[in-house]
Amino acid sequence: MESLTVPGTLESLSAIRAYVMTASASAGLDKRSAYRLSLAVDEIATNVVVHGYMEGNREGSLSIGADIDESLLKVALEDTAPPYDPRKVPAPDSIDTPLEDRDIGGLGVFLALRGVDQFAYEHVAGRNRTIFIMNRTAQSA
Amino acid sequence: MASGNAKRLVLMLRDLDYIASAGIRVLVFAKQKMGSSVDIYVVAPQDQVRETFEMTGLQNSLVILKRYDTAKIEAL
Repeated sequence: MESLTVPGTLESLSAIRAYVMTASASAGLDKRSAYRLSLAVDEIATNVVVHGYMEGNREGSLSIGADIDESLLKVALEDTAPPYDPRKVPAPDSIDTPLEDRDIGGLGVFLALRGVDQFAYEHVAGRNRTIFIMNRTAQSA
Repeated sequence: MASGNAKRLVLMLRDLDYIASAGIRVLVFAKQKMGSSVDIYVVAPQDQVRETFEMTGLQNSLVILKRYDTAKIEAL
């Protein structure tokens, strides 16, 4: 699929979401997988916009691309915000901790990491590159 | 949020297609603000929304109902 570049603003999140939905449909992902992938990309993209750009008073863009092969759908999200590895974010309080006592930080990244079949991150040529991989099921030809 | 003494919070979620961490935080925050004596009910959450509750451990703190059942809600 051809990649898409959009401004790094909250308004761009719906275009990012639409792109991921198209990629999921092309890859024949089931409803549950498509939802989890959408949520994962949404969480990371939102963090990039809010923490990477807005809070630092920076401007930048988001680029998203998708590759489909026989067994996988791979979505790559790139940004030019300061280096940020989502895998290094401390996990949120245990999900067994009662809500009354929970610290609510880290939930977005937690959902992103947990929701996809494989998650990868690299910092390349001054860009954060976050990779979300979903397995295609046997039915999605 | 109400400053009065709410007994319970009932959320009708049949038409909610999507929830992200922001929405989860709202529920956690509501529970924290209202205290453990106030129950939160969610009615008819869609499968993917329910799954997100489970991934974040919220299913232990919410009462999940398939439909709005006055008797059930007022008895609990």
